[in-house]
Amino acid sequence: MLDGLAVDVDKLIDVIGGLLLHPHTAHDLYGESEPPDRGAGELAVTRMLQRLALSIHGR
Amino acid sequence: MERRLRVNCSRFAMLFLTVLRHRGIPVRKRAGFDWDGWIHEIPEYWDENRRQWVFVDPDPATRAPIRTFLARTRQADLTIADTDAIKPGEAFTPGFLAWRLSRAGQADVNQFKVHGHDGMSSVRVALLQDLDSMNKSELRTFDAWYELITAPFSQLDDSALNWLNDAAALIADSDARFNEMRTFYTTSAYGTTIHKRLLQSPS
Repeated sequence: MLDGLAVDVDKLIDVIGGLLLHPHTAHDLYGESEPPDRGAGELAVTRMLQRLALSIHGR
Repeated sequence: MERRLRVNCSRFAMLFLTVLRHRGIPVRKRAGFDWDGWIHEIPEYWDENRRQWVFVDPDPATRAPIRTFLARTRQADLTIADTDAIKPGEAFTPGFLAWRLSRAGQADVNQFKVHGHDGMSSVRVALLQDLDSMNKSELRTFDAWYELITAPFSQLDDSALNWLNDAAALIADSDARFNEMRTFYTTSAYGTTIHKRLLQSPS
């Protein structure tokens, strides 16, 4: 999974930007007034990191 | 439908770190303040061609000010170590630098902001999280597990303030004093507490 990602920093940032959105940016883009529950966001990203880790160590 | 996860800068940094580490590129998280004075976390990676650490903001929406800053100052090789070139309010001010400038009266401490803190208390948070990251304890932005970071700033005694001064000095000179910085952290009550707490974390 990670092997498919670009090493080029600019390209990697584009990939990350397709996965994550800062609450402040969501406010600017969509008018979201309140950030989502922090705990939920942290858990979601933790799960994503776990999937990434599995793709590394599971090969 | 917008399906991107809403997360703060800490998680942008962690994803960037994960990928680069998988590729064998040295990278570490840094804590400090963004151009608006809010606490901010970004990665710093080792550029083998330039033989130096380079910081980068992995959030496409927030890296523009850093790019603008780099272009304006025409310092393409700027790194966090170039403390003379980084002024608070421009780009990214690492925690150790915010601490040193504030303690020396060379920066308006009220510009630095962390939720639940103000003034030097905010700067203390960024300094300690910068120290944590430099010692491979990569916490989330709002993790605070020791009284050195949670106690009212006015209650810190001279011993604690001197320890924080020493921490900032070691980070500032971390390339030359790397092992000293690591020993300083791992043998301190603060560092050992953070390490134990990390081992207890469920994830």
